[in-house]
Amino acid sequence: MTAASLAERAREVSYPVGAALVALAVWEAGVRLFKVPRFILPLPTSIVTEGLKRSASITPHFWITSYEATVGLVAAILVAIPLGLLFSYSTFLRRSFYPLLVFIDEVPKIAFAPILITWFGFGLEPKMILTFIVCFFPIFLNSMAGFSAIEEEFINLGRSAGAREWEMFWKIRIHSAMPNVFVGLKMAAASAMTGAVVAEFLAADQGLGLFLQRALSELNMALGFATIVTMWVIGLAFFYGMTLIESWAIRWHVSKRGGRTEIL
Amino acid sequence: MKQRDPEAAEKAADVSGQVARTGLVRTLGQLGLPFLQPVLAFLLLLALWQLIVTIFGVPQYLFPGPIEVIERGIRAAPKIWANYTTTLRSAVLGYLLAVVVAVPGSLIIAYSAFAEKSLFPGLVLLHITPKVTLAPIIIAWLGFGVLPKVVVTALLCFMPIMLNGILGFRSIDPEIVYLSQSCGARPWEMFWKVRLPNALPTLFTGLKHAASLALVGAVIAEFIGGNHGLGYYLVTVMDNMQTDLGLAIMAAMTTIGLAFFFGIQIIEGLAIPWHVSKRRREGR
Repeated sequence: MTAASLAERAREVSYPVGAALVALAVWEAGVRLFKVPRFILPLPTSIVTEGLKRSASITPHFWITSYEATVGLVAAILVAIPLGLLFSYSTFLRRSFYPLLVFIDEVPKIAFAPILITWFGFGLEPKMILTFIVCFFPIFLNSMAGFSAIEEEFINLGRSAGAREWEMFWKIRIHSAMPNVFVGLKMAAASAMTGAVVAEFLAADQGLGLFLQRALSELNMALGFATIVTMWVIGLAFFYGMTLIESWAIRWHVSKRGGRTEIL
Repeated sequence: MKQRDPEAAEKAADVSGQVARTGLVRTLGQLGLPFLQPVLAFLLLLALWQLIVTIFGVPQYLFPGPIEVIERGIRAAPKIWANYTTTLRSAVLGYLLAVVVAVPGSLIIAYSAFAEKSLFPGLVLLHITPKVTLAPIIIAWLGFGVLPKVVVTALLCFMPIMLNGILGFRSIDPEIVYLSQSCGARPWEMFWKVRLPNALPTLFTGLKHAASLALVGAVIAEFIGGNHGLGYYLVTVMDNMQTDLGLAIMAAMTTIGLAFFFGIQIIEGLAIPWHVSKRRREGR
């Protein structure tokens, strides 16, 4: 990177960072100036200090929630991608069940939370299963689309180059499905944490959702906000982790695409 | 391989087109005659479910059969309906609040280069952050009435509308702008006849995405701090292990989601018929 482009980039970044700093400063000044009670809106600085002070008690809950979200997401990936592949091969399955699955996708998945808690108790399982349900549909629907929509020219090309059946599968079908699969994976990664936390809100003996509820019931808003920031860190880590995997797994596609607006 | 015959290839392409949120309508429309097959598959699944529950004697409080769910749902219909209207109202009000704030907001940001440079990256980041986490705080602030549900719903719906609005208002072909300027279009004409119609398809993408989140927002808020509404009702019912009633409530929730989905679809068809019909032709 040349010095000029580095300066350009720095200028580009300075705008959003400046806006965020101004917003935080206004918040801090507003709360101090208008003497907003701290149990309603805490100071940004006290969110940081409270979060650091209590970091030892937040950390175990952080790991629990991350663990639930990871297990749910990984399970969804392991089930949804093969199922998408299966559906892409079978017209019969697609005709019979695809409309039904699209319909089920309209069911508010988080509404399974109370039912799962009744079935599986207060432990980690209902959170993992809810995460699984939340993550399953975007991955499944997008991988099926990816595996199904292959440009015919690629198939013809592979055939005339004498590709064997497994080569066709491995080098063409998988390859050309990947961008679509990753669309689903990123959507799922962005919502994995939500699944775990919503279940924790309802009934839990550990996890950030429970910790947040406790902090709020003690009217410790600063700790509450610090917990929410911790949750956001997990959510963003999941999403950007998946983006990182994507840019490694399908370099050819990501570099071609270039933009950052894909998340929409 | 199957993809060689053109019909199968076309079918594959169709499937890819369906994945977007618009999938349901198009699937139903496209299926036409083969509509029977998914219905049969569905009925078969229900029959299988009932059969398993009956044969293995699964306790009803754990996993009721579809017949029990329907029976229970019909018996509890008045109570479900009372909660249904509460949830529907929160979802609709929250959604409208998000639209009323996000559309003008996206206009301001799209028109001001400074605002866009400063705020857009932050908005993208906020879009990815799980906003559901704010629900307990909102409820702590606003109590147990309708307002916190409306606010949580609006919070979830806000970002997709805002970001797609910005993208829509921003991305316009400069040639169209030059053309209308040389035709002597006044600023308000530019907006009304050029920018707005140009932005609407993208804006509707956001509106549809948000529509799928409205119900989720209302239900989560009712889970956490409700005294009425389907989310609250579901939690209390499940606390009493009435799974049959719980599943009936979930079915009722789904109809709200579907109503939102089809509602926006219809409004889109009325607002931008030129785009919807074009998309349909291209999708074929």
